[in-house]
Amino acid sequence: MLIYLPIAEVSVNAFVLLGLGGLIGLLSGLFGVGGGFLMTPLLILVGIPPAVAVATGANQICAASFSGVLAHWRRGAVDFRMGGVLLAGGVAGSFVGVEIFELLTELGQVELMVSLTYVLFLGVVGGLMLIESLRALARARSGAPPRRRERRRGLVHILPLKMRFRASNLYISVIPPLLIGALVGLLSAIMGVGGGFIMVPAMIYMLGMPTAVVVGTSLFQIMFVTGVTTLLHATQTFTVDIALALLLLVGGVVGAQVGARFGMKLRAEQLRIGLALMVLGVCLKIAFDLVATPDELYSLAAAP
Amino acid sequence: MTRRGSARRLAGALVACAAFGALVALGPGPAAGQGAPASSAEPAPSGGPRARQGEPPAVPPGAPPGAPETPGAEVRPGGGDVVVMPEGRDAPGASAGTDREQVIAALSHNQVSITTTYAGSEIFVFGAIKRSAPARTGKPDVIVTISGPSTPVTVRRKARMFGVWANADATVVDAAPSFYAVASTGPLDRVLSATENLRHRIALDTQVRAIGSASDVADPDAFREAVMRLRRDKGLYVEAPIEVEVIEDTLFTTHVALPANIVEGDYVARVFLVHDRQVIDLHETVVGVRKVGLERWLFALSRQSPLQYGLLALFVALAAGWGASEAFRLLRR
Repeated sequence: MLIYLPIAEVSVNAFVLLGLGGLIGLLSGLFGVGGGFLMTPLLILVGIPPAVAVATGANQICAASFSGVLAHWRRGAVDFRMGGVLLAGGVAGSFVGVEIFELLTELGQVELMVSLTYVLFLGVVGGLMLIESLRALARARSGAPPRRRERRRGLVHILPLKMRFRASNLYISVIPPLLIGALVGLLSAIMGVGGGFIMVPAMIYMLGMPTAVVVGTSLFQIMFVTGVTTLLHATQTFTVDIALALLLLVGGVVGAQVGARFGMKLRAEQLRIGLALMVLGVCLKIAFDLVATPDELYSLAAAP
Repeated sequence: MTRRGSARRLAGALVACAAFGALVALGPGPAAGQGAPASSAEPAPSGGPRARQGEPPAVPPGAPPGAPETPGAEVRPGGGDVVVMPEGRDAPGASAGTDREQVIAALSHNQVSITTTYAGSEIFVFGAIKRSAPARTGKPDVIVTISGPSTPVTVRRKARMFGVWANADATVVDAAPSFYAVASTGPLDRVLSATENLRHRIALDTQVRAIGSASDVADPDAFREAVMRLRRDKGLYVEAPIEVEVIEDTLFTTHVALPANIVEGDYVARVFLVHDRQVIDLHETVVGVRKVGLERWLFALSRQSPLQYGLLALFVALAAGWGASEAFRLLRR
């Protein structure tokens, strides 16, 4: 069934969009990532203009993560205080990000910038996660007792403005979470992603949060950041397509619920290996596209 | 707009029918003077005289002086572009001895509505060659074009920079129609002379124009060709050289498919009557392509009150998220 999207001004098969939303939603619930890093490239692949794909992706991720947050919240797996701190940084970051996005659109370098940031962040984050979780898995196999998380005194303990995060069982400075939040907000606006793939590992490895609350907290922050990004794109770049978002999120919210349920049955290490492999896969694909000679060298855009 | 559109469509169809009737009654045989009484038998509600929209026809070289704009032509109030031609303008005496031919055309619809489930549409163009004299020697040719609103387009070309492909050169192609279709009775270069093609901008490459781009890039033509190639690949530029069928040198019909990815605007349909590679007559009609219903409402809201639109997008997102969460909770019980 073809459906004409009012803002994107293209006609797309509605079932393709529903399926896409469902797939992304499943990943969202499973790993606590919004799935935007898959959504934006896939939307462009089915013929949605890149600018619309980025802005509408943010709107869809907002819905999917709200659904996910509700599921995690009922299990008490959301650290609202940490979420609030991350969020404060995130909102600031997304304001800057939308400005940068507008500038890049004018210069015609959005595509390159998005691709480069994808390769950089996905590569680093995916690689680190894979190594760490493979080690953890190997330790579990060899029968050695799981190593307790080292209570090292890292930067998070030295910096000022300390705050107690009860749900995460932490007493750390608020500056690192603020910065992480800002970075995620920036990427959310530029890449149309929630930023979960950066935030989840950052929360585990940099802040030392327990894995149990990481996913819910990450979704909590993503929900707000993508909400703000949606509003900013709607008012500044006019590229949010409600019809597209609605189709994606109908599939997405259902997928997120299934994913959240399914995720409880898997072990944390397995989850992390899965996420790491997926992140690396997308990274390699984008890197290949950057280097390989494209079929079509020319592209069109509306002149200012 | 819709009401006017349907009235126009009806009028157009009636005019075409009446024209066919007149032609059948006339046949190619009767003498030059017999045209007037036959055409005066046209039914009054059809608007009697045929309605032309858009610009008045270009006067072909060698046409009888004063023929297209005879006294009595009037402009309808509220529709400044509608020029009504008085009937019987080719009556004996006015242009005796000339074998002027006219093209009369109508479209299957003058309004295309982009609904939520819009998946492309097809416009049938049909018409007749109206003669007040015996047919010329040689077969008449007919060219039909439909063009969407023309806008400037930024074209960018990728180049390898530091090992990766990135947009390097860019230029603006000053005018490129969002949609363009040409159908004719034969290959354009055989049917039409080069000067006539340029004058009426019939072939696709006369429609895509780059004037200011010469200064930006070394090879502006490559960029112009890229516009044509990319839009052709998307089905937005269609060149079908032998799609117009002419029956008995008099009636003709063709169809133009509008793809699903068209944009809003006024599309101009032109029907050219060509003889000996010269344009003899031109009929121009406007096809309004409009978003309707939900599509129209959402688009207008997103442009006129973007904040409300953004809030609506958020509300829809949160409602869907909450709804799904609740639904699954109920399912589990």
